[in-house]
Amino acid sequence: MLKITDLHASINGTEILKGLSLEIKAGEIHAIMGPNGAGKSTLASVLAGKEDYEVTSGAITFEDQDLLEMSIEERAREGVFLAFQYPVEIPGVSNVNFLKTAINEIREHKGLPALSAKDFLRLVKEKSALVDLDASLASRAVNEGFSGGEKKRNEIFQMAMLEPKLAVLDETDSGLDIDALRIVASGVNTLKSKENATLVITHYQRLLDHIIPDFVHVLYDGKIVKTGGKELALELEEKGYDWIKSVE
Amino acid sequence: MSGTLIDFCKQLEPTALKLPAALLQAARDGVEFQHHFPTTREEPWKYTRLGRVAALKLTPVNINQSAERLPASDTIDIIFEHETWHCAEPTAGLHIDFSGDLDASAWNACTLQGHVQHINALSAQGGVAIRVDANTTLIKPIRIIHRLQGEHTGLILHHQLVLGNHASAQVEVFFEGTSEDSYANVLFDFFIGAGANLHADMLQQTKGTHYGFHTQRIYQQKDSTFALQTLTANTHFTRNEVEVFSQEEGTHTQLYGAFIGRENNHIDNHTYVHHKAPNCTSDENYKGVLADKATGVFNGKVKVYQDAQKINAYQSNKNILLSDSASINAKPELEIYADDVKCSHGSTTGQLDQHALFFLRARGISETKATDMLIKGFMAEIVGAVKSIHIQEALHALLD
Amino acid sequence: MAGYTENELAKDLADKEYQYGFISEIDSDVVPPGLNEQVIHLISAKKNEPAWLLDYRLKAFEVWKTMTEPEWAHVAYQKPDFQAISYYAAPKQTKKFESWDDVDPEMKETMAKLGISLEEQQRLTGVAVDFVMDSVSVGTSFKAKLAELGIIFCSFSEAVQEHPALVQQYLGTVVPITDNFYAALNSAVFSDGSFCYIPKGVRCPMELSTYFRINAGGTGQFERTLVIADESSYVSYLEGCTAPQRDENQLHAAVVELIALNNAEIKYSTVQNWYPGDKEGKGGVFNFVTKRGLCEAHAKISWTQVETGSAVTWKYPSCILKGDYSVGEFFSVAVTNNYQQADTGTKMIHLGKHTKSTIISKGISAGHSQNSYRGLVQIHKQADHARNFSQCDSLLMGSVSGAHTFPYIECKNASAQIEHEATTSKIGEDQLFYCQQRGISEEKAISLIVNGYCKEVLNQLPMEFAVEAQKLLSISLEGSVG
Repeated sequence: MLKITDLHASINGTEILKGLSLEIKAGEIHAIMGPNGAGKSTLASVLAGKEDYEVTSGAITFEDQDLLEMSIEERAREGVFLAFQYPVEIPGVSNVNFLKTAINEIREHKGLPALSAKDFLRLVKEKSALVDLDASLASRAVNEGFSGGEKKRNEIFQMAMLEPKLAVLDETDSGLDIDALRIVASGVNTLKSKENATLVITHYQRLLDHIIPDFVHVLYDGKIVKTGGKELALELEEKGYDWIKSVE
Repeated sequence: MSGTLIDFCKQLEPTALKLPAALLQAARDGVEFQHHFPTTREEPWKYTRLGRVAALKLTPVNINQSAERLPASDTIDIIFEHETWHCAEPTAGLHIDFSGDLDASAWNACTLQGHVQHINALSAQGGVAIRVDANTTLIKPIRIIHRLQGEHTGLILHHQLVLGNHASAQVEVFFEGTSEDSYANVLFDFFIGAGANLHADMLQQTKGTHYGFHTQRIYQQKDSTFALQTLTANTHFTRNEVEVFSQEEGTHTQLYGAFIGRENNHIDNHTYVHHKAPNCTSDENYKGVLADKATGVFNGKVKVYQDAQKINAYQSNKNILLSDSASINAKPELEIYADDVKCSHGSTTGQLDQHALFFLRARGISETKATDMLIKGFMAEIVGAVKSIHIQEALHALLD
Repeated sequence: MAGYTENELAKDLADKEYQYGFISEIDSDVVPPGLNEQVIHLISAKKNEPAWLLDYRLKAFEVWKTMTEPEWAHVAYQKPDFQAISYYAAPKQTKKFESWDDVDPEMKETMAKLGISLEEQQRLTGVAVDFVMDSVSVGTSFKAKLAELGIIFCSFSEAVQEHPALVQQYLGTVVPITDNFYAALNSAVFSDGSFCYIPKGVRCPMELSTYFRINAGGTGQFERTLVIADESSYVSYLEGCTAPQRDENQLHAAVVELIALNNAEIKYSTVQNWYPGDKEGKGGVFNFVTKRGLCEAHAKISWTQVETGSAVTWKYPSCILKGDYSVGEFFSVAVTNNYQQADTGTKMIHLGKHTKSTIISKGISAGHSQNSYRGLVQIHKQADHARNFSQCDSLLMGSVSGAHTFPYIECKNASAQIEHEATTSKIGEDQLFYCQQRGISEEKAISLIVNGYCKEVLNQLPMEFAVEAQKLLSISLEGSVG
């Protein structure tokens, strides 16, 4: 589904990703772990197409198409979803209006008719239950006045609504208490299928107790330096990132 | 209105400074064109009447310079008293001059705006020229004291402070004494070199029916920092004009001010920050407390020029009115021609927090004392930004 | 920049054609250009006016001759030649319309192009529309129903004939002829407009609406509107304006006076999208309007405006809060694009005790436009416990546009509480990125964000107007991405 080959990316002339390669197949869950500054969030931003980052060399293909050639919204419409580490507040724009616009733009892209108001609302009801999101939040402005936990749940709710092929969760566990973490994780697990894939980016192992990865990659200094199964996460937790540095 | 500007200037003596001919001509043209003192129909004087100023009968001050050095203290003192400048021995890297022969290169940067600056250019009797060499960090603050006295005096001064690249200095300026029916027009030009840092605190507390016009023009070069605290306490009439020209990238400007007015005091603060270069910040915070029949004016303007992207400009003005006869006129302005900026201003006017006042009184504190405490609290932000120990002490005495 | 470049934005905004640019070919009865006493006599005679109104006009003309055009606004334009303007243009139809069917089909078509088919509106929305084509009111509906309640809603000329006492009592009481240059001009030459009177204790059951249009080339438009809400009454009044495309600048100098007597409430909403000129800044309407309301005790006046049109706008809908406990509100969205210039805001004059005012202003500048907020909050000495809250936000799109804020705060009473906040920033890149990551195109994302940004103001508009305003905002920013 996703193939990253020797990716180099920089911001303001500073190289952050220094030859990262990764392949994700449908039905898989991958986790990327690494210390602060390793380039985890840069990878998420580059996948989504944030223009502050410059890809200097390497390639990314998504479903056999050149991802780097696509605009931000094309990537989203093709099925790349980024759950933001810091979801943005958009004052005055209701969650419902926002999502309806997004869904219908994606449907139009796929050649599908716009969703009727009735069907849309049914979908909202169904999916918001998944992440235990209060229905009243749907009518509030996007992320405005939401608590940290509500923002993260809202991200997963949007993911449920948009049904992406590849979901990239950027530090989704940061700032969550254990209950919220469980809700978010169960949402992700429910949405998992043979057709889609998930890339979990995290600093801590605890999220991986709830979302069990098929592969764990360790990102250090812009490269994946170690790949293993879910047990690698535990080993990392135990030995700390200094262990990786010493392996280097 | 009575006399013309030309008549007004005739009471004073022609400038003792060696201004470039073009500047002098610009001042003459300005006075001629303006003809009379501006009225409240003119925007910069909308809230300040100049009728009393125009009618002042003045005699110029003859300025002398004392040969004796002031004794050394914890500040490098420059004192103007009894028509005479007294000065302490400058430390290494610091040059102080009274000859009226100000830095020629600095003149070129100057522009003249408005009748106050025109009068200053035409009639300045002198001023202090201070130069700090590049890469010099002055340990002691420079303290400039203007001790005013007498009646019907017209004091026109033009000071200059040139801070070399990567130099660092602290200045404290005082206006004090008692003077009746008198006029002062004191202009400071601050030239802040690249990477230089200047912190200036100014206290205005002249007593008597004195009309004080204070102008500060600040020219900031690349990566320089400038902070000015202007404190005005119970003066009969004060007009402050602070104009900052942020000319190169990376400058930071801080303009803080506090004004306290009583009886029929009139205190007017005008600030104008020109952001001409990108990646600069400015932070402005003025607070006023007005009692009795005092009137206050705050007019702050931030202008961001077209190519000056990534500007972060903040402006705040808060006022408290203690009496129904006191009044405040506030005009915080933004003029923005660049798109990638973050600019904001806020202004509030009201009375003291009545809940807080009640709370203090319920704890047995008298109303007067409680009021003083709350005013002190209100002013704390500004007073806290003052570095000058002398000014801090004066303010504490004033607010207690 | 995330996803779009300023150049593309600027270009696409510039290419947007004016949707309502068409000229209807209806014969006009036009007075030759120029302004003198004869012209005023002529206008007054054509309208069969009583002597006191002619005197009023002539007095205004005398005052106007001594005045000069104001210079203080942050706008620059070629001053109109007041002697080159024709001061009266009436469609050549002397017959009064008995029914809607009698109206010239072409005129109906004009309205249809504007999307305000009168039949549609009557049927679907229950809005009573007083349609003003150039200077003479041509169709008033729902009159009978309103008459039952004692509500008078008619053209200004009709009011002069039918209700002269009311007009004479209130005309010029809020905006005196000496008020300003354009108000004096309007008082001298006003052609027609709307008049509305709501009797004591009556709550007007429907939104009253007027659509203004400038039609005949080279004719100035001098509307005069007078709304009187008697004690404890309520009215919501909608004013919509579009003008067809013209190359030469057209002058519009209207005067609107609102009077809210004790306990009355007037809600006055405007959507203005007059021709703003082309992308080079050629043509467009000069909109120099004086709008002011007077509140007696416990009365409330609420101004809401969405301004997307005109080449130059000079407009400050204001409230004189004369009575104790009276309330003034001002909600404004002003969008400028290309070479448009807007200097708009409000004045809140607090005279009474416990008076309250709220100002919410949202400015959006794109292209080469200049957008200024200018406001005055004045607390007089006797206005104990007055309160004001002002929030002025500016959004910048494109590096050659300007956004300016000029608030004046004058306080002479210690018990007043005044809060003013203003911000200026560009459209949030992180917000754009967030929307795009969810599959929303840049263009739609901008429209979403801008509409969200203006929400507080749009929420003040009656439903059918809000939809139109939202559409207008989207149109103004349409094609903003390449």
